[in-house]
Amino acid sequence: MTYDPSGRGATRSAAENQIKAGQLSTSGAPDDRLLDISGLTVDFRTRRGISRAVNDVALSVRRGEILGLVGESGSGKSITALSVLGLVPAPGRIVAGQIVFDRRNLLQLPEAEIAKLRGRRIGYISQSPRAALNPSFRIREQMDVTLRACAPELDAAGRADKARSLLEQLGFADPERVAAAFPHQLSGGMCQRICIAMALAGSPDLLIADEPTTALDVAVQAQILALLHELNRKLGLAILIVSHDLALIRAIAHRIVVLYGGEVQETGDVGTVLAAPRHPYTGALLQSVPDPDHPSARLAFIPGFPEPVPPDADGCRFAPRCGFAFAPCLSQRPILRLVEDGVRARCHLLDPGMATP
Amino acid sequence: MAKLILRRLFGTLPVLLGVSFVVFVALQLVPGDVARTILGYNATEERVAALRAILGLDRPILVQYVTWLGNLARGDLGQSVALGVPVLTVILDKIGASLILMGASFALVLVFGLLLAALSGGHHRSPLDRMIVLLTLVFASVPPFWLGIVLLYLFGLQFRLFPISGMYDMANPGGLPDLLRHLVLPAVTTAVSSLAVVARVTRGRMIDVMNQPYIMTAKARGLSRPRIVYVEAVRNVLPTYVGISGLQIGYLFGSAIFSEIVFNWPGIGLQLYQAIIQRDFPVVQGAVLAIAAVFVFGNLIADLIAAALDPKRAT
Repeated sequence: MTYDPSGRGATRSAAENQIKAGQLSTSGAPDDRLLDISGLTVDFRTRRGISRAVNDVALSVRRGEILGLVGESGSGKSITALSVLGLVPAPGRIVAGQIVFDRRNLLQLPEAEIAKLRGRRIGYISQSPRAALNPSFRIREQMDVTLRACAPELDAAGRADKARSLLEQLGFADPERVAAAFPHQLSGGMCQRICIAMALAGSPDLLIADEPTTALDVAVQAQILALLHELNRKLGLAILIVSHDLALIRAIAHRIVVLYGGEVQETGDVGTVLAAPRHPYTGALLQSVPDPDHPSARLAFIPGFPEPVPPDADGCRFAPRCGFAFAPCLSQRPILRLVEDGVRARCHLLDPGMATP
Repeated sequence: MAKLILRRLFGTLPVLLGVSFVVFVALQLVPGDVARTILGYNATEERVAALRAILGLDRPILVQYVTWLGNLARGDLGQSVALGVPVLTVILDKIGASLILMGASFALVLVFGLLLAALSGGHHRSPLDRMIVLLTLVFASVPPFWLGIVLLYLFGLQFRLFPISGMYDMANPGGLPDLLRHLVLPAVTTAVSSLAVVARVTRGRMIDVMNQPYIMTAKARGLSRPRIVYVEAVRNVLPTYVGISGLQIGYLFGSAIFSEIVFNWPGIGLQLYQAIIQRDFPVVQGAVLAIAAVFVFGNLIADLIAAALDPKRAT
């Protein structure tokens, strides 16, 4: 089964062409892992029992790399990203795994040490830029407080200078006017650029971008993506970008991790994976991206919806919705196997030992 | 903002009119007769009827009310039946002491209401939070007349920490320190239940704010926990806090009447209580109007401050 991904992608024409004008160093990056997650498991303990949001997830982000984390709502992608910051919302709890950032396992660090990494080594931008800004403070005050936390070596004048230069770097022609505004006086795109400016205040090595363009209109999406790409190229900023939008990931990421049901289903070089998905879920996701060349065509979709996963579930997470499922898919959990150079997928169809239907 | 102030200012007029009318009518339902009270139970029916005519009590209620309203417009609240002096004099004489008591209680409500709300709501489900929730539940349920007597007994009579009655020491009045010593128990008695209400409502909003995305991103930006709870979050509960605090002014007056009676505080509440006992209706009417005016204007000011605290409404 192969899929033809060429020509597909909602924002391809606007965003992708603009961005691909830069270069994508898709392979040959040195194995210099800035972030290395392995065996990450997150449980949500609710009155109805334990639900496993993230199960045995492994991924790594190399220095200077953009990693795209893809999945639909409830796939565990945001929780995985928040785990790195130590900000998994209650009642979620990391029950197993390692999160190694710059050779230190964050899960063994005291909270105070993780707090020091936030803002200074790891930046974060969210999917709702306006809601991510405190409605009661002017941008100037919010940037000042952020700089006070992330760059304690600066004095008041130094912070004001730095805030101005960050805003200029993010493309604001008139930083003073923006700094004097309250969040509700600014557009969503402006808010997101301000959020990025604040995330960069501590000159982090890694930026976690959780659906950074979801709340923005298409033209602004392209602008923000171009900005992230430029930061990656110019500053060597590593980015972990979380999205449900394959076209966006294709446009910006070097490597991709596809999550479903809290598990990594497929991972590898973004071009290789999307050119010929090995996992039926990746394939189904690709087919449900609207095709701008055939706008009237019926959009393919994946029947059913993701169901909450108990911690002791057997079988493949995607089996109930998979068009290719056969007997072992419901009883045996497939392993994430190396399919070819750099591409791994979790599917029984790829197991030469299994009888294919 | 100026428009809002004007609109709200005009809005207070019907409220005050309504209050005065309801009180005027309600007083007619109180058994007993002012003329009879003044003349005593041995007076003849003829003399009582004559006095009723002089006081205008024989005229229809509506006529009496409109007459009272007309006098009010000229700044005349009538004569106290029991004291024989103008009602306005009685009120001006007593309202100072009440405002001192109210001010002290309101300060307690404001300081401890916000403090408890931030400590509990900012650390939702912590042991401290649970303790404060329990404490404020008890506080909110304690009637002031009961609490006043308990405090008076414990801290006035048993431990002898505070005086039990009045505003100044009778034998040798000692200025501000003396006033403050006399103020502690009545102010605490008045404040406790309102304080608990403010703390609980503000805590609810605080929990809500702590779950907002901007608090999460503030953490991700590396801001310190105290900064996030006590500045970033608390700033956003202020409109709610000011609004609910403004509403408490009315309840504080209600509680103050009880603590003025228990602690013999020479304020308008004690005066009102005595006037009701004596059927001194003009004083009752005037005192209620004064209390209603303070309540309405207090709320107006609270609403305007709450509006000014919200950047979306202020700009």
